[in-house]
Amino acid sequence: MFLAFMAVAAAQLYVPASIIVRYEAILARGKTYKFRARPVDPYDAMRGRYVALGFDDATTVTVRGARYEHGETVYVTLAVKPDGYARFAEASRTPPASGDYVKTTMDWDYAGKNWGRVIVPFDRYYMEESVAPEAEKAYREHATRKRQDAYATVRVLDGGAVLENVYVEGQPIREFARTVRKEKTAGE
Amino acid sequence: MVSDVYYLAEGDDSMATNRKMTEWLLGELPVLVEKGVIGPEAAENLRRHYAETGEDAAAESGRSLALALAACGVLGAALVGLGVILLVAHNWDFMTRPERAVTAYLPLVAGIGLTGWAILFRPQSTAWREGSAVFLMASVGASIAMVSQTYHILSDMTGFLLIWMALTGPLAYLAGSHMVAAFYWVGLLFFAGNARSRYSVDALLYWPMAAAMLPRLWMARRANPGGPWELFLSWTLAICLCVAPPIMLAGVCRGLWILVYSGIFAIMHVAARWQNPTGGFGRAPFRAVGTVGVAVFALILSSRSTWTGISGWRVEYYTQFHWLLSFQDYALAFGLQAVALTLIAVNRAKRRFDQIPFGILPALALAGFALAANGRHSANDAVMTFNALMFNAYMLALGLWIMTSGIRERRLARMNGGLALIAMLTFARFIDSDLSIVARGVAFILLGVGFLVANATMLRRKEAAR
Repeated sequence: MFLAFMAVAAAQLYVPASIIVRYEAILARGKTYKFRARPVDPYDAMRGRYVALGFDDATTVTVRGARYEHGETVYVTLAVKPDGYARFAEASRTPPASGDYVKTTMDWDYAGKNWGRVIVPFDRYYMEESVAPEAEKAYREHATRKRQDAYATVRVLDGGAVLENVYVEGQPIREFARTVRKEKTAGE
Repeated sequence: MVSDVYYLAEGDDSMATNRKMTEWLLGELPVLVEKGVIGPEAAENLRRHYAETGEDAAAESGRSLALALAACGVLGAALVGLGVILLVAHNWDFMTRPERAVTAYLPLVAGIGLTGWAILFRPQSTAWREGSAVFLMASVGASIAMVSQTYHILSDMTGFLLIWMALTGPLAYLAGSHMVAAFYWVGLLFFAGNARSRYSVDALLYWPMAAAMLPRLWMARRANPGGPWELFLSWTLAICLCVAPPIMLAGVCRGLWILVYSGIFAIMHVAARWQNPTGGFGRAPFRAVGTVGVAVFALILSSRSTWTGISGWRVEYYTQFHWLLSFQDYALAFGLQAVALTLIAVNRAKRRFDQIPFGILPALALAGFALAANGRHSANDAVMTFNALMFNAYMLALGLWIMTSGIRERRLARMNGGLALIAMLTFARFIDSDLSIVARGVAFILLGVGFLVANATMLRRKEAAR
């Protein structure tokens, strides 16, 4: 009985470690891509601890071959636009032979039109709950079509993607939110 | 509540009084023997009798104490575990990634240490086993959540909940924890709900994973038949089984839920006779849920609007229905029907006719579903009305049968249950009918008078019998 417990305990210790190792490797060796942010649907039940992110036209992909089911695993290649921002390019059922790609799932495949939408695997940026609401407000103001000076940097390696940081007016969002909060406190 | 407290206090007092009286009687025995009031043999018999009674009382008191300690242990561990989860949720910004990794492991290592120690050195202590296992369960969740937050990957709640339950479910067996088993069943429902909201076929893992915890219920029963842990797990499972269908059904064909629910409730009512067949509902969770479920579900089916909502065979063709999810819908609906109908046939063959009134619900639901699904547009109205009438008649017959059998067996609760069923049916029909307020008022007065007269008659008969 105790040996079986030790085996389960080993699995319990292994899972967080495997996440740490996998994502640290992506952060250390992955290539950085910039994704331009866009405002998101305001409804989310778990708000308050993270900033929900949306990405301008990044989720629309070219789809080839047989129709995909919603939720099906896909491998999406990345392309960099002339303005320097990245977008998802083409979805397929197997990893591409060359170039960076992200493993994710299909949202909707518009049958017969050779295009579809994929689910972005990096759509939340977790922050301390004391600054997250302020950061979210800043994100909303700066991700609008008028300003468009909010973006996220994402590291990509072997199909894995990690959200590295979110920037507003060229500043990391964490610092931006703290500065805004300090200014507000000083003003009061 | 007040009367419960009074009863408990009175119980404690009477136990203390009994103990004092026993001590007094045992002290008197030598005098009684000496005076020739009783013989030495009778005195010895009395001593032996009260010694055994005292041991029984001490054992019962020990069990109660162990249960109270276990409850406190679990509550304490659950509170600490929740506190850890909340601290993790704060997502401290000042910590670097390595510091976060260490912090994520602290409660996990503590939980593993405590549970391992409890398994090795306190295997007999329910409080230790339950408390440490619940704490470890919370710690595993907190640890994975914290690491996932560090890399901003917690948006995949389905994967998170699945891994959490898969990693902690075995503790129910290895640490012998019933609380872990209950949390596991509830956690799996959250996993299934999350997976279904994403149209993920992974949701189907719910069934085999939930079934994997069934032996724990059987083990609890074997250890102490009818004991508190068996009842606790039975209540949890019975309620989870009621909540699961709307989460799990993909809705590939309209109206299959009617077959699923009628099957679940009837099976729970008929098949759960292994659990305290003659006692009250409180000690027979599956039968209680099944009985109430059949009554409430029959009431829902007695409304015409339920049937108009599913008229015509309508299969939804959307890409989000993975073929396995569609298969699940049909398998559940017709599988449960098959089991329920087999149970009815078995009961009929064994001449257990008292099981048939509740057990027949799935057969009627299947007939109603078949009629509604086949209903041509022009004939729909008649079919809907027929179905609604069929279930009104069924519910009335069920209510009358329960009431009369209650009267025959002189069981007040049963008789009132039957009356309540008829009252519910009447109430429902009065809500959706166009009768005047006066007519409704008169009907309710008549129903109320019926209640009072039936109860008074029953009480008088009981008095006379006494």
